[in-house]
Amino acid sequence: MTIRVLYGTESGNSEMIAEDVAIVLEQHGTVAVADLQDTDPGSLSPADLYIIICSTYGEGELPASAQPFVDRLVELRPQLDGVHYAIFGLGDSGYADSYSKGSEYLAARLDSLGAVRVGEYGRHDAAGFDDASEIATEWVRGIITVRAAA
Amino acid sequence: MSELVWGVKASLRSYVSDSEGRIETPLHRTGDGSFVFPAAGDGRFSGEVRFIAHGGMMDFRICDPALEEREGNTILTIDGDGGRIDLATARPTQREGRLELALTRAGAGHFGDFYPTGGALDDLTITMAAAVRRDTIAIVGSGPAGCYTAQALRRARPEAEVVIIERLPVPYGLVRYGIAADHQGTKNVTKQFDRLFERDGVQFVGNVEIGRDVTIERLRTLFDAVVIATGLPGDRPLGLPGESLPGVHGSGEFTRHVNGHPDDASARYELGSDVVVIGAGNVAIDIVRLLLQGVEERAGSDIHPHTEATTLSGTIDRITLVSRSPVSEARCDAAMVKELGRVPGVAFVVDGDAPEAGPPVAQAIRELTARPVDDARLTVSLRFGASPVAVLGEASVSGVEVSTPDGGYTVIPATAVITAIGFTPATPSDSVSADAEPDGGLFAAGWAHFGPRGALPDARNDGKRAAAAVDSYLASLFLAVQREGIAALRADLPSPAVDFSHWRRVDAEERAAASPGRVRRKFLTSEELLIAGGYALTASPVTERNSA
Ligand SMILES: Cc1cc2nc3c(=O)[nH]c(=O)nc-3n(C[C@H](O)[C@H](O)[C@H](O)COP(=O)(O)OP(=O)(O)OC[C@H]3O[C@@H](n4cnc5c(N)ncnc54)[C@H](O)[C@@H]3O)c2cc1C
Ligand SMILES: Cc1cc2nc3c(=O)[nH]c(=O)nc-3n(C[C@H](O)[C@H](O)[C@H](O)COP(=O)(O)O)c2cc1C
Repeated sequence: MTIRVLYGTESGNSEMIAEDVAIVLEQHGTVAVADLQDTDPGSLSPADLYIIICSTYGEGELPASAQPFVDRLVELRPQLDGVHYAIFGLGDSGYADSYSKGSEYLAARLDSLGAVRVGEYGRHDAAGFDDASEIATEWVRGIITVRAAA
Repeated sequence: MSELVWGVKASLRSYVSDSEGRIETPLHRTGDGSFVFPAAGDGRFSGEVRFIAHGGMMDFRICDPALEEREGNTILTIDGDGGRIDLATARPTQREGRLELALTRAGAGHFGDFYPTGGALDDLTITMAAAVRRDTIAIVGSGPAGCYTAQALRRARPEAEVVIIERLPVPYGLVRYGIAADHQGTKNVTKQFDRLFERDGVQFVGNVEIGRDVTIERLRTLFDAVVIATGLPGDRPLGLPGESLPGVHGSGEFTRHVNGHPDDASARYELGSDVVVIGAGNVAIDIVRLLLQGVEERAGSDIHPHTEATTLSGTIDRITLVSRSPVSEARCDAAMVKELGRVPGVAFVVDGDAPEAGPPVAQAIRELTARPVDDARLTVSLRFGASPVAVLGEASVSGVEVSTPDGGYTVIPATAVITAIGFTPATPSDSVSADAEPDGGLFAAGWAHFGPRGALPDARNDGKRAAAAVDSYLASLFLAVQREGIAALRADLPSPAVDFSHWRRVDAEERAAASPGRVRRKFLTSEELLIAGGYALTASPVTERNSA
């Protein structure tokens, strides 16, 4: 099993978080980090675990680097039964009507194709004072615990 | 150590031995007979070889070869009796570090015209221990473009010396001094940038202005590659009569002022009761929002209490936003417009070209005006399709004359005007503006490269592009010359630079000094920024204070 950390970003925060999360995960297995825009949705495999870090742009839209992945996903409609993923959304509750809607949309698409979300939906709100890196590494430790128990 | 390995010319070596001459040299020779000239720094190598034949009638000397770069060409020079001789031109081959040589006119003469001008010598090879030769890259400007360029460069070349030079004592350009004071979440990108300096070995060289403290030409001699990421701090002029009247301000200047930029923080603004904002991009909307906020909406921002008490003291009754384009072509984001609508106590009216159903931004504008407000403390009037034709006033601004979609003209009364129609270089003769085509190690990124458009993601993409260009340029260099980099730059500076730990101290002080409801209290002058970080200004009282 490879733990695949995939990120969707515009200004790079999700990429940074992906790298931080990968450092934690490296103590638990083989880890590969990739941009969603370089990831083929047809390659998602039940053998691996996916950790997705994704922000939100516009008004609840996907960040640019996640858009082509989701477009392909919708077009290909791959069978994702048995594919496990956990997701962490970066957003800003200052965008009151569309807080974290981009990553939620991505999660909903994966779910609709049969993928199974594991653990808590992780979140970072840029309007608050929390450090995204701290929250995300804490969150991913929780994901590992949930997976270990499963 | 690096060395130059060169056999000069195989046929010359055989000629000498065939004619029972001799090769005199103290240099070490490789198995194939090449000579090994040890490096003497700066592209120079030391040692002498003499090819002597016919009882001394023929005596060719190759002494202290050096590689020099001149106008994009590499020249192999040697010591001659009357000074340096340009012996041959050097061109890179497929193999890294291996150069092809062609004799110059003077070079042919040096060999007694035994060989023709343009004739080939043996290829020479520069070998370098990786630990010795280091790529050196200077990025000018620590805004997003500079930082994203450094980020991508660090990934491509982990060993390179990467320095970011900034004219201010503090980093991050428009993240600190442009992005609105109430959008602290957007400023979070600095956490990415912090790592460059704290973890990834990128050096921050603050308080150094290229063009003033060091010339760009000098910088280019010290570094393999120079990336200009100096932004576009000038306000694009309206080009209309009256625009230099007192009371007319550019959006760059005004947002710097509100954000506490040392260049503009202490300027005095008396906005009065009627402010006209010209333009309808995101910067114009930022300004309208900052102007219509009450004290409550400023919670969580870093607006300085002094700025609040003077410039933003609540004198405004009406803000008129004037835009030449129709509402359907407004350049601002719908989300920005919606945010305006969340400020309580503000009435919105749309004059002129009323919004129809259209793109999201037009919808958002219509929703603003649909909102019922009783007891508005302030009115925002949005005029689309209205072109300003003149700024009116005697001693100071009194109004803006606009042409209306129906072909008429009207005057909007104004006690202050803020133009938000884009940005330009600081001065037309700005020595570090980057409109010149990048060549020979000079690159540009961000607004200095592609103009005053777009947001952080665009700066990130452009930084990646610039870094890739620098990376392939460095790969194409077979570079004999180890550039001196930051150490030599520091020696050149009129006063010491500040480093990243200085910013860390300033940052901590600013956060600690925040008044209630604010996240920081910025220092408003360069002197204060320097002192707060523990920098010893030359004036003695400060030195005493710091050493105490
Ligand atoms: C008012 C305003 C609000 C904005 N709000 C947002 C927003 O909310 N979200 C968003 O994504 N984008 C926003 N932007 C856009 C964003 O700021 C730009 O995309 C980005 O800053 C461009 O980066 P840059 O590095 O090219 O320029 P800058 O950020 O301008 O950086 C240039 C740096 O170079 C330094 N410098 C200049 N000359 C020299 C010299 N001679 N020697 C050494 N250093 C020098 C400057 O001091 C500065 O630090 C805003 C822009 C403005 C003007
Ligand atoms: C123009 C813009 C629009 C945004 N829109 C939303 C949004 O609708 N909802 C949300 O939750 N966050 C929104 N955000 C906040 C980003 O998701 C947040 O800043 C995040 O940390 C960015 O991460 P990234 O650097 O990986 O792209 C927006 C940010 C910007 C600059």
